[in-house]
Amino acid sequence: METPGKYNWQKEALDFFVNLYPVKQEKELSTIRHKLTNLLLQHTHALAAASIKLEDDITARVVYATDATITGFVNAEFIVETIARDEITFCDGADFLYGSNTIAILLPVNAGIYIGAFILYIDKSLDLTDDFRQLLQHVWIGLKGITMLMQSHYAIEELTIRFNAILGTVNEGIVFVDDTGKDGWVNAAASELLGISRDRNSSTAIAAAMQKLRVLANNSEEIAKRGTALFSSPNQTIKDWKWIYGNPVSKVLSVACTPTVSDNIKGRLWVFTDITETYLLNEELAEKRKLADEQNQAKSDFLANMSHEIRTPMNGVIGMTSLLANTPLNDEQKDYLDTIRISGESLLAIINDILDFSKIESGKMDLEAHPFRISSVIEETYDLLSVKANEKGLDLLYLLDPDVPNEIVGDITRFRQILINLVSNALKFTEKGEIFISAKNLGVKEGVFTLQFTVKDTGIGIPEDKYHKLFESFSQVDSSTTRKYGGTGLGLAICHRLVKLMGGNIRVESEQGKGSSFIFTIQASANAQKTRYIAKEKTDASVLKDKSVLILDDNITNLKILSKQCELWGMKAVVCDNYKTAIKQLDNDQFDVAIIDMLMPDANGIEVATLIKQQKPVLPIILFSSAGYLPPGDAQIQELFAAVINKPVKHNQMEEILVNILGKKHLDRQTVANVPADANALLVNILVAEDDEINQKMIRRALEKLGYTFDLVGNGKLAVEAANTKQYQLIFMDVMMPEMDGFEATRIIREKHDGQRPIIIALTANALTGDKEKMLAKGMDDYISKPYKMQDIKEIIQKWEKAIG
Amino acid sequence: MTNKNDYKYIDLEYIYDMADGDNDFMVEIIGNFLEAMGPNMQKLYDAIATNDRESIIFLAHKLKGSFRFVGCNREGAMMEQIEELIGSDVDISEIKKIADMVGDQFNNIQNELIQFQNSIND
Repeated sequence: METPGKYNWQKEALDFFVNLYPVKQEKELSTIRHKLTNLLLQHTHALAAASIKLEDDITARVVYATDATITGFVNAEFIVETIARDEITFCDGADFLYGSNTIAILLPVNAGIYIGAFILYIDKSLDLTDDFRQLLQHVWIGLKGITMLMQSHYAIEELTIRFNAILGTVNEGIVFVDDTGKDGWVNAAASELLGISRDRNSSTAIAAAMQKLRVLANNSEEIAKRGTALFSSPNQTIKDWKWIYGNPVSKVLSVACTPTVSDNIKGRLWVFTDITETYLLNEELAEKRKLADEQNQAKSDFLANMSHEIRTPMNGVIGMTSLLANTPLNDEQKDYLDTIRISGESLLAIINDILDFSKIESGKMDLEAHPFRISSVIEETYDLLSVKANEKGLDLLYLLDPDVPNEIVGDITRFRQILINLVSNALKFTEKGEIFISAKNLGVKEGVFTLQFTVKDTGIGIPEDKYHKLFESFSQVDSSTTRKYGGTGLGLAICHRLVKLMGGNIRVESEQGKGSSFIFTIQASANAQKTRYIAKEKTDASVLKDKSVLILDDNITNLKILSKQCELWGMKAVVCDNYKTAIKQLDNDQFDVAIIDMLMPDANGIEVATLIKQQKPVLPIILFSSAGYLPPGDAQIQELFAAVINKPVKHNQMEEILVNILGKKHLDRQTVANVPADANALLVNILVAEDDEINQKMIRRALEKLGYTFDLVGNGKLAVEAANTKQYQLIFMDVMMPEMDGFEATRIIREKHDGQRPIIIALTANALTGDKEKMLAKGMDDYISKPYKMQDIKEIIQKWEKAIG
Repeated sequence: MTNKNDYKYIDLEYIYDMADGDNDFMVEIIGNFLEAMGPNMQKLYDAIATNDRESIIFLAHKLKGSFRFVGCNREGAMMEQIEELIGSDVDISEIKKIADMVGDQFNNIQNELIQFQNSIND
């Protein structure tokens, strides 16, 4: 060991820095470490030198030493403290893996990735002069600087490794082109795409390859245009720029171009993504969507056109029916006409429902909420389908439990559609027997009823393993069913969805060969005006209380229904399923009325009625028969029966007929039930007193259209004179007229015709609250305000029909 | 034919209802309206000028009904107002103001009715 005094430490320090420069040029960390440690040894003239790396707070190890004996781990805690103090520290060499006759000089470094210390081992006998200490300070500064550089090298190396890994892994072709034209690089994918070598290329070479790629594209012109726009602005970015190749398309690139933002490096990064698969898939999907849209549009157009084409003649049918209804008709004609009207209206409703099916499917169906009478819907449904039922000789029956609300609030069209569908199906699959609709109240919660309806037939039935298919769209039990019975298979699917919309469910119970029951529930509130309605009914039906009725029918279900209904009206019902029993009953008991069916196996209704009349000539007999079965106006029938009702039997109609017969209000057979006001039109003597020409024409028009004949006068005085010369039943009296106003005329007419005066209805332009009372106080019976519609005139005449008598 | 909802001043819903598709009836009734309304309005003005309250009530009442038949509810309401006011001690000048307001619109109503008639005749 040489003495330190013989060295020029200042010169060593200078040489150290000079020799440090080539070390800085090194790229590899380990090389830098080795050379640095050796350089320290060289310029400090130490016995040995080592590089210590602090792995963590408890681990410090020798990563390089000039003496192979210095190896392993050292006191990490001490190294940590030294780093924390950030000062050169002198220790015993024995504590740091070297001889006890040495001093270990620790030079701590803390530069990110290089945390630890360089150790110089010097002889203990060495005189630590100030110059030497000065050298150590210089060396330590040099070390700190180079470890900072090492850190940068490390960071770059780390980034480079990551960057290369990413670029080599991604499928996208990535290209960088320097704006100066000097430099550029591509990754492996881009190299393959552009057909150039990897790593660095000249910008010119890369640009040429990209130009070639661009020219080959199908849409090269468009690419060129957008490229011009792109390069006109240095900061512009472009994304999802499609370069398309081949015919048919075999390759599609999505190109993105982003300018670099560094001050030192200016250029553009290009990313080429192969989106061929996605592009073709999207093209295919777009094509299919377009096709589907076109088909959907065509379907909608077809439905709309079809709907229009059907609606136009149907509206004609319905319109003409309405006109026909305004002509004098007898009961039977009226009944037929009603059926035509209801059939037409139902057909229109069904057309609309088919159109609405897509709405249901897409959840866009809105149900209406208006009060309607359940029994009326059932009766209308039966009326609509009665022709088919009559052809097959099927009975159409229904019975509502007494606790089922008469009127509910809901969508009458949809409810009717459900019933029509179910009854139509039942008719298709039933050759003999009956269709029976029943309704039950399953409970009420917060004013909302759960009502269960059952449509039961006596048809062929459905195999149990086919139940699940019934409510699917375009599905029928099997294809042979479709051939034999027709239908689209849409009906039950519509029912299913409509019932769901009404908050209910639908299911089927069936037994092959015996029949099927379609059972559905709905949620509905009762009409708030139900109470008033029932009260009116009870008043009318009170004459039926305790009256005895004999019911004869071979259909047991019908017997049950009629007897139950009669009992609900307070009557005493005796039922017979054959005429012999009925005749015996008539021998034994007194009856107020008899109801008999026309078609029975042993004897028909006419034969039975003839027998009954021999025993009980004054007993009123009601016959129910299929429409068209009996010849209208037949004298024998008129003689035998107090009333003839067409099937299906309507409970309200039956009630009205019974009330009329048993209430001793004898009516002609033609006027027993549902006689239209228009049929009576010719029987009513009407006077109109109106001075204004326009108003005269309006009222004249309304009365003529409604089929009434009338006299017209221009003031009150003439009205009085007219009433003196002719017995009018109804007078429409304008209030304000010259010579004598309507009030004065009314007063005089009332005085003169006290016993059998006409009904006087004021015609007035006043429509204010209190006007009605004023009219009534002045002797008018009612009033109608101007302007009015034809329907208003019709309704007010109908209102006063009974009083007119 | 012009749609019945195409008009600003008139609404022929009631006439359509009564006509029930009979164009001749519509032409006739509109013709009657056009013939009668002008003279009746003039009579109303004359009655107002002479403060003939009885005639004012009578004419206003008649005009009210006629206006309403052709859907001129605003004019109908004004006539009703005249009917009500004339029964009180209101100054006749107030009645005239209301009548003038109706008169201001009268040409428009007439024009639309003529337009409607022409559309039917076309």
